[in-house]
Amino acid sequence: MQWLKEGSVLANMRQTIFLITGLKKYYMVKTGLFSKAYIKAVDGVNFHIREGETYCIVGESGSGKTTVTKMLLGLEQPTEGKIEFLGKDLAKILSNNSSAKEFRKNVQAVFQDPYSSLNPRKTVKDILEKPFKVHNSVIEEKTVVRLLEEVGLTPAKEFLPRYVHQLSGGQRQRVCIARALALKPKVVILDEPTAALDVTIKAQILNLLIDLKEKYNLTYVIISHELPLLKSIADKVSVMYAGKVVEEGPAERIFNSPKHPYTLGLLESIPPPDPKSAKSKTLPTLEGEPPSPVNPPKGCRFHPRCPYRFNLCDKLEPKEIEVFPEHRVSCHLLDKK
Amino acid sequence: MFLFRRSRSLTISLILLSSIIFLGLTAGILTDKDPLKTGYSQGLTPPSPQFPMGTDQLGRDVFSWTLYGIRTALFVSLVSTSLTVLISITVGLPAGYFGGKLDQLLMRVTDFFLSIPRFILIIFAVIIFGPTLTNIILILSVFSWPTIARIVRAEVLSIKEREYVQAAKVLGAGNFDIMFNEILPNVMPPVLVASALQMSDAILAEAGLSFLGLGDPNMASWGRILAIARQAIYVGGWWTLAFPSIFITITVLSVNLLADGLNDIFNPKSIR
Repeated sequence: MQWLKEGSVLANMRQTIFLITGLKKYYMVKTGLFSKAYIKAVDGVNFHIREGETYCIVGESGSGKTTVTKMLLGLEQPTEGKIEFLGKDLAKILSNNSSAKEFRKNVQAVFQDPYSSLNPRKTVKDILEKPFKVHNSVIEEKTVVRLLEEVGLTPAKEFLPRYVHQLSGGQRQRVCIARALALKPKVVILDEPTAALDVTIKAQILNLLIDLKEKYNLTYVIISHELPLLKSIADKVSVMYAGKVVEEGPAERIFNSPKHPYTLGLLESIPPPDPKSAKSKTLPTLEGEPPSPVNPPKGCRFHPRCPYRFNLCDKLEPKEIEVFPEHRVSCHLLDKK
Repeated sequence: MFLFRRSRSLTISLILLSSIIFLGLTAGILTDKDPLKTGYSQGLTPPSPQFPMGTDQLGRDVFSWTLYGIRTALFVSLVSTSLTVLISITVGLPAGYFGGKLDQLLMRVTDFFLSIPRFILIIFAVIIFGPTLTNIILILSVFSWPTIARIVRAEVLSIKEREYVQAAKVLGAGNFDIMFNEILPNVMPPVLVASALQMSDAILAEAGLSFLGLGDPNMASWGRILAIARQAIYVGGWWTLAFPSIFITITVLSVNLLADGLNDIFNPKSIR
């Protein structure tokens, strides 16, 4: 099976699209007339995203996952650390007009709320022509129609003159996806693409995303807290907690043999399909709430909620340990062995 | 049609306003008398077929004065309000969008204008620069923009955080493109409501200035005939006071109703 091995070598040699090292984002808040504090939204995050990968970031609200994507999109400046896009510093790319435009063409986004990510005063046609206008390319109705067909809005001609309020949630999200694809990007960053949608629509949108990825060899960065949905699409998953990545690895490793107690907690809190099963009655939950981002707990940030904590956890910050190729965990439990 | 069904105030105001505008536009046909010319009659004469609204003590025709007054009132208020909106957008849009030092600077200027008594300043400025139509329009706009500029800024602050603005940034749209094409159309509804109110303010301010003798002497203004009526009513010339006052009231009322109606349409939830 020589070819299989070669295949996996090739997988590792795929181009790195985003390389993130020591990324931090602090927001200043005034706590009194003269005092201030910092919200540590993202506090030292490292990872890389390879070409053709579906990279998922999961975590509770406030874990910093949305802030990471905003920095990847260049909408927020990192407080510290570096983002490299195709080997070049993102800050430098954005400081130059022509390279910034090139970056914009390559990296597009779909936002969480399809109700607020489309301008209510524009028609579908206006919205889909915008990308071409911004990049001074020729606009043909053919192109816009093809985009709409691509995302399953047919007959496309009927949708062109519609305003956003005349579309359903799923249709809006399809328009958002069409807008993101208009410039033929390499990477699409999806911030909770299905969170605001009905269950049946969720599956449709997810299938659409899978189809488009294969067709255009896209790289996805998906932010979500819906683990069951991610299971069907993710290649790699990183779990964020209180501004840090606590576990990162190939999707099958994360879902089948999670190492960090927090990942375990997240996976166990998914209700099983059968409500009568014994597990449903005693659905394990993570105790407590995510910590304050202003004053995160000392040592391991998860220790106040961790069922397995021991004397080291509140004193020392755990180091990242590679438990399996590409599978990294930050937890003292693994250190102990 | 569907708009009218949604707001009764809009229907009423549009009926009133269009009749007023119609009267103003056809003033030249409805009356053959020059409103500024004296001596049509010997002193005060009550309403009669020849003078439907009577004449004042100098023999001026109140009817033609009132009709031509519509032109003055609407012209001054429309032009000055448009200018006001223009200035407030130029100030409020960048202040809200860019924030930071620029916002601080522009808002302190705005605060300064808001903190001085407006009408007194307008009187002052008219006395200094002279009571011509252009001056009055310019002065009214220069001292009226701060309220609307504040509204624009507040709206921009909320709209620039919407995801469609973020999406435009991600597409690579420039600041001007975003400000004018994405944000401005969504800022307009509350601005239009405020500018309708501003318009009725301007009508009253112009009438007030003319009443004080600071109107353009070459224009027939409702304020000025009221100043004349002040003397006429002592000798029973009620018509000099009544007709122009009725027109001021109806015009201001219908413009205010227009603001109400616009508000009903832009915020459908606020009806009832």
